[in-house]
Amino acid sequence: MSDIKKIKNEFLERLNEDLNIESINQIKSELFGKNGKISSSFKNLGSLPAEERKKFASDLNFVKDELQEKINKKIQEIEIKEINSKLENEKVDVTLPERNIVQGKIHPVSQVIDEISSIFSEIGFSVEEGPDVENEHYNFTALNTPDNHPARDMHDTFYLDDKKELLLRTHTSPVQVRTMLKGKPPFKIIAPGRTYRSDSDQTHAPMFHQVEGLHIDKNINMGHLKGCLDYFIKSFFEVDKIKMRFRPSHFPFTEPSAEVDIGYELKDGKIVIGEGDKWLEILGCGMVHPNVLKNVKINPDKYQGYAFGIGIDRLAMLKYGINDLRAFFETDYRWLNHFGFDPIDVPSNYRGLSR
Amino acid sequence: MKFTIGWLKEHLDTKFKDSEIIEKLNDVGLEVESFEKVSSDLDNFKVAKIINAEQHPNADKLKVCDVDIGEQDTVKVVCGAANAKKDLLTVYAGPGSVIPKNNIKLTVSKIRGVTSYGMLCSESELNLSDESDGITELKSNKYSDKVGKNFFKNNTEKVIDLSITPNRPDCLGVRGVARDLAAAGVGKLKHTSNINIKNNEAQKIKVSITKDKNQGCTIFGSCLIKDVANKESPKWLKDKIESLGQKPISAIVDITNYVMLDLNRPLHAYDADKIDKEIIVRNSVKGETFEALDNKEYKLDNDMCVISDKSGVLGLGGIIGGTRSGTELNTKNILLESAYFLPRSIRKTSKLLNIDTDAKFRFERGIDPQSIEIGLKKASKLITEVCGGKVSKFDIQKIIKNKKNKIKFKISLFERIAGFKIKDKEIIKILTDLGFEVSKKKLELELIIPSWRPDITQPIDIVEEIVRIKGYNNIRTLEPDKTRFKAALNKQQKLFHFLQRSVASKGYFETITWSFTDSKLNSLFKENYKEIKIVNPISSELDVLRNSIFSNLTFYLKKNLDRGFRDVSLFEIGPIFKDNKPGEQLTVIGAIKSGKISRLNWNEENRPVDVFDAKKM
Repeated sequence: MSDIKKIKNEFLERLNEDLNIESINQIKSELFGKNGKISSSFKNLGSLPAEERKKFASDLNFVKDELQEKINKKIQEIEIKEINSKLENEKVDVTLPERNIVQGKIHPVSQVIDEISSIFSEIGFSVEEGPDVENEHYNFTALNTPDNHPARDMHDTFYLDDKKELLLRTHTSPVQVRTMLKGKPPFKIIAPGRTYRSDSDQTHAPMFHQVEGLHIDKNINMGHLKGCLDYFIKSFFEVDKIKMRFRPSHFPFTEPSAEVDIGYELKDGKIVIGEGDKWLEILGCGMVHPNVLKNVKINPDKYQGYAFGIGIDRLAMLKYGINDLRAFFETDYRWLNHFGFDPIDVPSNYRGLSR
Repeated sequence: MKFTIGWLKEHLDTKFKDSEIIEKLNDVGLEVESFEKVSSDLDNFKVAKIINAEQHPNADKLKVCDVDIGEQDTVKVVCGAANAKKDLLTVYAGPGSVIPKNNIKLTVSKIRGVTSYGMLCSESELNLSDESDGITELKSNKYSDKVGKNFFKNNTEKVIDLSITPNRPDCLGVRGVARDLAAAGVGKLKHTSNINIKNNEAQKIKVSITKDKNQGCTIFGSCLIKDVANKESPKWLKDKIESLGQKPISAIVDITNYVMLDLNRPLHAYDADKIDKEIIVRNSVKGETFEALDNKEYKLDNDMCVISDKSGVLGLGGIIGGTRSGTELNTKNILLESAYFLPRSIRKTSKLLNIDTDAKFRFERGIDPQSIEIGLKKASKLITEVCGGKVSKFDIQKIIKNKKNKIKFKISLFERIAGFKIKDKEIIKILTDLGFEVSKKKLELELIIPSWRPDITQPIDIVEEIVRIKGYNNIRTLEPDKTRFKAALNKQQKLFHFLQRSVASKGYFETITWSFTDSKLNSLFKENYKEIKIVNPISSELDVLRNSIFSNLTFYLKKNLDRGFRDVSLFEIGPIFKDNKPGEQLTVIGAIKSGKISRLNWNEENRPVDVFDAKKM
């Protein structure tokens, strides 16, 4: 048997054994390395007589190819085997819980304030603010509620001094006065914020939130007021149709004044907004009283307009099915988690207010 | 303001249905709070069924009964009746009920060591018959499906309860409400029939109003009614008073109350024999005292408007009468007062003395100064009808002249404000129906304001009257005008928004806590800021404005830990206060975190919250 055949048989036998990648590489270098058996056989080619050379070369090439192919096959086999065993051994249990994500929440009142701001900004209103601590003048007198007015009794005021001059604002309306005093008409603002009344039971909290609205220009009438609120209510509750009722009422700082009710019905103990034959009062509004305009040095014969005040907490309760007002301010972790909003869920007009 | 439809129809001729009247009341701005029957004491008596009757452990003659009163659980009642047995249908009276026969009020009580919730009643206790032997036995064919229902039928009329805004004192009387409804097209306001009384004798008690500075009384009308026999009110009057949930007292008191509720004309009746010589309406002098009808002794300051006689103060004018001159069932001669007191004076005095009465509520809002005589007439007529007696001439003392308040109204103002048009003729009709005297001068109306409308002083008030009577549903809904004058948010507001959402996105729950806090907690965080006390805090634990955002956050963190939460991350963005002046406040954001990071996580090791978590913010 020629040397080549011997080599071939020997190595084919070795290659049929159970091998790992290292031993294959070992075999590979024994055959085709610099001093490998096949490589050195090729080197010997020159020393052979010319008549033998051709046959030898052809045999050698044949063996070389055969071995090489066998090696490649073997490598592939091993690789597949390794991948399979890897897949087998390193299987991931995807049902295990994820790594910790810390998800914060936005308070429903903040979310609703952003919704309201977004709605009114769409029709040209800008956001104003005013201080929580007010004096008697801005909170009452300038708003046409003089000292002897019984309407003052309707506000259970928190006072900060014995002379009752400093107080916590009982409504957001003083922002109207401050806004008009520091600028010139026209005015088109909303002012959301904290308000305070010394009243505390199941349906009243000593602190709550209101949003004030004010639009003063040369020709703003009650039709504009109705249109603005109609647009707001529909946008806020995200419905096309809503039953709404304007009912005459009285506030010292507006005249004519109105309270606005929306229709609702009870379905399985839950309030459904829009239809039904029950009425729910949701806001107070009216045409800014000429006395208020005079108090802020605006001529009521030239300028006129409307104002409104809406309870924000109440709106949040209605829209998101929250039953208890007191819970808004009790910082119960479960409540915040349940009723809170994802911080990325920013209300906007183009994508809609709520998810 | 409460009244029945029947009472309303004494002033209003109408064919409208109850539901239409209710709707119209809301439409004209007289908000209906409720329209239902007044609950009666008799509502406490229920049809009941004895489910089980056992021997009382400590008394031979008593039984302990389990009684089904139509609620989820049965109640235990100790009963001495021989006929109390299983399955008997009878009448149950709960704790708080008053037994008709003896006027005893039931309470939950222990009878020989067993607690009894209410009582099973005999026919005699219910004034049904004289049968006092054993409890009432109800026939099962009639009552077996009525367990839990009221035993007595509530025959009272349904009562309308209106919430009257402070600008509308005239609608604190039924007639005022009827007038508004008539103007809005709900029928016709009835004419007040002429009241004829024979009153020829002079009023013999001298009345004077002193010319004190800031005298709170400007008109004092009175008449003397002699030889009356005060008694229980007749049924029609009792029913009226009771239908409003009030208790009848005596004919004289009930009649003065009735006239007040009917016409918003408060009256006061004195026992004339208890008046020392004469009536002097004057300012009080500091230190004067009197015992009022609420059985409290009041110490007066200077310059409160009092009704007095030679011996001293009889009462606070327009607020409350005194016990010294009060009428009783044996009162023989009465002096009836019908006066006008200035709202400002009433308000000042009642505030200083902290008194709240029905009369005060009305005078504070403004009574019709022209209703003095009609009040005297109507009441004295009724009193003589019920109690007999002879009425004197009316004595009316005044320190002001009646003057008619006038106003000029440019008709175009209506459309300018309301945004829609109605015909001049209709405007004039509405105002006339409301009691205005109207004369048209080209584009203007000259109006004489009705004396019962102290709220009307300027043209905008007229616009309101027209638009509310015409109906707010006539106001058009105009497309919102979208003009913008200023950016929606300023730089600071944007920053507020950004910070709020950025902290929340790092795992903190936003909370909103009170702007006030506990001074003890506040002092731990207040640094150099001044403590700001609230004069009338809602509780002693919320007695100061917060100087720091952390007092409440810490408080609520603790509360959540107490609730069993171990890892809590909270934040708040809102005001803190530097001083008690407007503007002395800062908007701050503060966060608090406690517990462990990665608690109970399978692939991360847990660790306590540390300073670097804070730094991460």
